[in-house]
Amino acid sequence: MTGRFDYDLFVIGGGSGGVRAARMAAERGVRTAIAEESTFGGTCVNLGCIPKKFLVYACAFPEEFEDAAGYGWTVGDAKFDWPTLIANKDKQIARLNGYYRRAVERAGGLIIEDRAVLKDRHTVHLVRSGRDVTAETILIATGGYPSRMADFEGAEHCITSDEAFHLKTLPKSIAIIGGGYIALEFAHIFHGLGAAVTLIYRGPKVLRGFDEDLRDALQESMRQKGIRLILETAFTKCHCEGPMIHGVTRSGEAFEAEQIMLAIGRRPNTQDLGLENTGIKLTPRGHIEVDRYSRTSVDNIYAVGDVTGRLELTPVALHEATCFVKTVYGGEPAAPDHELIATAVFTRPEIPSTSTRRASGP
Amino acid sequence: MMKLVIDAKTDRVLGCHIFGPEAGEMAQLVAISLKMGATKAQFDGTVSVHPTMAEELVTIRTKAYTRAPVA
Repeated sequence: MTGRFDYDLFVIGGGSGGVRAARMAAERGVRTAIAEESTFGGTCVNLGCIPKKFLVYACAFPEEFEDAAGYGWTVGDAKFDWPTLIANKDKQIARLNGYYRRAVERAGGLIIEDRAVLKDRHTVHLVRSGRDVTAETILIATGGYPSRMADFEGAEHCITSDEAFHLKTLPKSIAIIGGGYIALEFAHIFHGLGAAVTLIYRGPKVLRGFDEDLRDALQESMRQKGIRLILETAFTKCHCEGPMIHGVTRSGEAFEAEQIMLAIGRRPNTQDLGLENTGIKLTPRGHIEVDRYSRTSVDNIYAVGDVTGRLELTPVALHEATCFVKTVYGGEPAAPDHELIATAVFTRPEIPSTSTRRASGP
Repeated sequence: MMKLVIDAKTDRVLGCHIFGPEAGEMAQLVAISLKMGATKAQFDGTVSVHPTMAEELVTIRTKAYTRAPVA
């Protein structure tokens, strides 16, 4: 490693991919710094997999209470308190935030709580502290966020999954726009917790890309549970009236709900990152373009995880990060293997899926 | 508790023992891979399903202890 730069490796983004790479590199004696502007753990820990699983666990109880009678149990009046669930979830998340930070620190990496913007191919500007640092290699692991790019009137009244994790109260009714795994998981969560759920999706069948029989089975199961499905129509507009949001679909179906949640896809965090100062190329869909070793079009800058839009899954980001460290610091070029990756959609029941042919997944 | 027993010479997974909720649902799937002669490297090379308890099967890294086979 040369001494020409402040660091050997500078990682932008303290989520799954960034923390894994920073920790592994630091363990190998690489002079590493990692910048995170928010809390450590990224989407997975703060606004994704982990809090989602807590809500999924919570939503399962009513069906258990119902089944209990058949097994001889008499269950008393069951009451649910949303603030208790959210507070306990946040407590667990705070614990994980600390765990992620300490993993990097223990390995010898430096934590920088700041927003990092690329100034040139070796220089990162830290916005809050106003200073510049240099690094031989830069890894971009900035992740993504839920899209709000909805082309209808009143979209500003809608929430996304980000807000759903921190609602002050549990809505009595919610309309969810989208047919992907996030829409479906939240439809089951809110239904299980007692809300009236309407799912609106412009396609003919939910969970595109999954096995056809499975998609049919899921829709049938949702209808039986009492989740209202409105398919093959777009959402055209909505407006607030008191506590309720009223919406209309293109096919003319009206609905009202206390909350409307957009689950219409996720976008990569590429804005205000200074990419234009480096010449890093983007894919047609706006993700950072990388080769099979996660190298961008600028040869000392790499990218892993959701910002690259390959398979947007935590374990895949971890795998890509591990391969990056092996390739750059381990002397063994390792290309991440994106074949035969099992995933699970946490509906009720759950939908795990493994397939060699699947082109896209959750 | 989750435990994989590995042959140090061949890297083959010889056994899997789990003490945990719904672990009975995992046993069948592990049995298929063991029947096929899977190695620890192949377990490690499988991307995990997150967040699940079963993902520990492919993320176990710490060697607990080594001991000679029972004669």
